[in-house]
Amino acid sequence: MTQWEVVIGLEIHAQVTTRSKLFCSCSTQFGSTPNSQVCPVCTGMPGALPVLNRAVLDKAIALGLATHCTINAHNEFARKNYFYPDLPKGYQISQLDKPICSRGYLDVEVDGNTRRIGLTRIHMEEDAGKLVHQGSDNIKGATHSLVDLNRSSIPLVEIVSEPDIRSAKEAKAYMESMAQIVRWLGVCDGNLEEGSLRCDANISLRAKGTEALGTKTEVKNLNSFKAVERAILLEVDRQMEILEEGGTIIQETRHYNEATNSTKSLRSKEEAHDYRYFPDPDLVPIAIDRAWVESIAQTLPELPSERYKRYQAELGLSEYDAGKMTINRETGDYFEATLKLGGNAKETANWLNGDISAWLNENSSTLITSVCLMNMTRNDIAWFDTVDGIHQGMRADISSINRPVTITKGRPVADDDIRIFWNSCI
Amino acid sequence: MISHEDVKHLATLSRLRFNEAEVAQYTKDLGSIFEYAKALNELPTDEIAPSSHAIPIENVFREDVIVPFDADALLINAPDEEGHAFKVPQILAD
Amino acid sequence: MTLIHKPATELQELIKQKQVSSREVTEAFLAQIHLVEPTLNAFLTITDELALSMADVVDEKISKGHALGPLEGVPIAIKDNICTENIPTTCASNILKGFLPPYNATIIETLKHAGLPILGKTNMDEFAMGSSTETSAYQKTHNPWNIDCVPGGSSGGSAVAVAGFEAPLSIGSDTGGSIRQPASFCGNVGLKPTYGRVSRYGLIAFASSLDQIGSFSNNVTDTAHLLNLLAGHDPKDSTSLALEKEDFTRFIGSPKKGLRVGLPNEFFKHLSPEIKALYTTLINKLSQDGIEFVWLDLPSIEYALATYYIIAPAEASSNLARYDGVRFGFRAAGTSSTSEMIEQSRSQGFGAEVKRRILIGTYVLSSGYYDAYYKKAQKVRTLIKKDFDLAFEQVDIIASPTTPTPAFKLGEKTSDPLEMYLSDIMTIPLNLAGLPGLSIPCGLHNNLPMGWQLMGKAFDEARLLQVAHQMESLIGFGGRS
Ligand SMILES: [Zn+2]
Repeated sequence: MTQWEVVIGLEIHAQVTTRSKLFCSCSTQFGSTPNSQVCPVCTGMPGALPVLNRAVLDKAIALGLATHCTINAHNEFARKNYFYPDLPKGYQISQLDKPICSRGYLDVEVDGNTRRIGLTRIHMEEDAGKLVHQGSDNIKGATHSLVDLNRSSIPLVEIVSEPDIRSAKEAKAYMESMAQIVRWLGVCDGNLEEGSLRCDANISLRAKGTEALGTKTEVKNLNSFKAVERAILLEVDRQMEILEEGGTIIQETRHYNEATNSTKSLRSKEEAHDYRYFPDPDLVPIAIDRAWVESIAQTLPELPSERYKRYQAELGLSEYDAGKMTINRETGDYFEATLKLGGNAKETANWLNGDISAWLNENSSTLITSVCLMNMTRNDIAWFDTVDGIHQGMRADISSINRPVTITKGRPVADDDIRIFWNSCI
Repeated sequence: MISHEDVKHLATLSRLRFNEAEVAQYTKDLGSIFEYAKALNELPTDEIAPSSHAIPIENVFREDVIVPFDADALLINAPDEEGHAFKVPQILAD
Repeated sequence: MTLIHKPATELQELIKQKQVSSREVTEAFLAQIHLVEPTLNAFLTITDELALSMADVVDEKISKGHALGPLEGVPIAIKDNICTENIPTTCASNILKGFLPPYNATIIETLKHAGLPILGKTNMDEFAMGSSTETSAYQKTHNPWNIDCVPGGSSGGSAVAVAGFEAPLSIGSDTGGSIRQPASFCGNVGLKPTYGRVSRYGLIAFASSLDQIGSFSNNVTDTAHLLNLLAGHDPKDSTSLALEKEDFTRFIGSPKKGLRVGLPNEFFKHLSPEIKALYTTLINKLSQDGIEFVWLDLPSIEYALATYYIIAPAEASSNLARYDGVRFGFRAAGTSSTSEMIEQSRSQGFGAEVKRRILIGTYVLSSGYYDAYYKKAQKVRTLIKKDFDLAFEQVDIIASPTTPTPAFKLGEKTSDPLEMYLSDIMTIPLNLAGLPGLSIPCGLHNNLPMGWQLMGKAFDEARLLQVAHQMESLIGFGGRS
């Protein structure tokens, strides 16, 4: 019987955290009223022109550096032409043969082993708008649809991996590591529920020991870590069944339904796709010199994988604790700030893993949403000198999160300090 | 060199619908235009870089700043509207 | 000479000296518009109220003793592919019938701020695709020199507005000659500035890398003053250049000594004997007046038309994808699905020439043909640019006829697209090279004006206008009265 090898490549779309959109000055905030954060540019009004948001470029470079990519000195935007009612210009501005980053990798821990997953490219592109189907839960049976362009031209980076992933479990671990890194760098808020991170998987099988890639299918709509794993398992089983029965895989796009845990072919008829990419004449080429890359490199924080190793080697944390303390940058920074104030590493890790984590869970909060606490320590406006003190102070602080009257060993904090503190939080 | 089928395919890609007479007319028009354009092949261009723009400019950016726009003004031209959104007929799942 | 026959700078002088008010000037042009429009059809929308209210603001300024800015109070007409907030902007297409832009193009903001009363929006070829203004979905514009003839295009309405004394100044756009060719046909001065000189924000795109806003006027001095207003960096247009403000009138009136003007052999090859004789006479006259002409070669120019008819439709096919009936413009009625709605709206909303160019553009970008057509054309474009660069090492200015023939008859070329495309053969190379150029009237052929095209180095408009003014004085074209 043939032994099959699974070959997977992932395409991750991450929303880049910025105030304004990729090509216009509209807010990127999650909008409630449809078409409230729009302008002539992102609604594709005749005559309107795009201008690139520099912050997106800086963040894409940071992500490229953190994933060992080459930052391409010359890159440019191209138009990807296709019609869809949520695509206001009739083309998406993306990058094709001159992306911002190429040829990187990400080391991923799977079952105690390090797997190096190659990255083909990272490119910048704009998101499309959103369609809300009316009269039915989904597109089928809907009587009509509504186009909301609040998301139109929201900045995205698309991170394309090499077909280096060999199992559903590895795929999930890769996705988790990538989510951790984009959050860590502040490139993306990593909010899967709001669609800040989305993933498509290219899956194929080949007989073990052979080189040639089998026919792949693309599974779309993998919007949670669990979905990545489960959808890939399903698709691998489906393909294996077909191959074992002597059938052939049809190259197609399949849609994953998380509720029913099933995939379904998206296009029965072979629709002619020809995106007719060409350099966008409304935008100009981007030249990135070494000084620019250097300046971004200097702002890069210590990466989670580096910290993970350091916490074990220098602070003597267990793998488990080191993993927990580097789960995101806020936790890591908080952990370190606490240590600076005199905490013991193991004790502090326990405290953050225990009481604080429990409190955050109870209050449906995270250290990310309680960002003011982080700023407090980052700006050295922390008023404690023992772990115990922080413990108490922390609790007082969290419970009165809208007005942080911080308890400091019997000394009330002056109003001025609070004002400075709050200003630093914004 | 351009067939009726080519023109029909181009029409599909560009979301235009033609009757047979139009297809025939455009096949003829495009044929003569591309026949004329064939002259370009006389020029050797292997070593030449393509120009997207005549005037070379690079690195034009805007700062990451929000400038609000009166969004209501963007809906005044909507052929059909519902709940501050552009209303379109049923989208057929394919 | 009545008010409407006076050039813009003279009109402003009269306004400044309080010999006439801006309202009186504006009313005179509006009266002429209403008088001749039934014959000429230059305007799609006439904005009497807006024009008069803008004129009143200027007059109030004068009555308060405030100084006026350049051309302030002098009315102007605008091509209908430039967005004017809440004023219909249709590109002469059914697909934009009744479209009310939610914003002003940058140059409209500029003109409003500068106090030039806006008389209305002028007819054009649909989406600026054409050379005779006959592809307009709404009306045919007639040439005031001979109403059986076309005004040229695509900015035919703007050219006729000035030639028919309906406006002292007008705005057009030039993608392959759409200002210079109608200026030549209508006997006025038409300027296409360097690509990037004038903001394209709010100019409804035809071919983004070639489109440039420019102007029509009665003489070179007016053109230079108007360019002073139009030119400038716009952060909303990534392709607009951040250059120092300059005064484009600064060299006017001081003839350049030792001027060398290049005459490209290629531009004189295809002329009929009579037309060739007209230009030979002109060149001889200017030589006698001390201008040195040098014959030179621009070998790649022969390929400019083919290059243009690949690049421009390619960009257009993408630029026109946004007309889908979803957010604005025409939506076909009675469709049962969105894809049918999009297809029907586009099929019913676009005219035949626009569809033709969409098909050409889609073809040259489609997989399998991109390298052979689009990329090849982009490379030839590099060669054309190089030819101009080399030529400008030898000469200050390059000159040629603007068009191979004077205005042709309405309907004469509508059946053969390639024949129509050939009427832009002299003007297209400049757009591909991004360089500035203008057409000044230089004589008559069969009682129709002919144009003399002057081409300059990139961003050298001040010099170009100086030379144009010098030649304009030497030629002494009488105009039409
Ligand atoms: Zn916007």
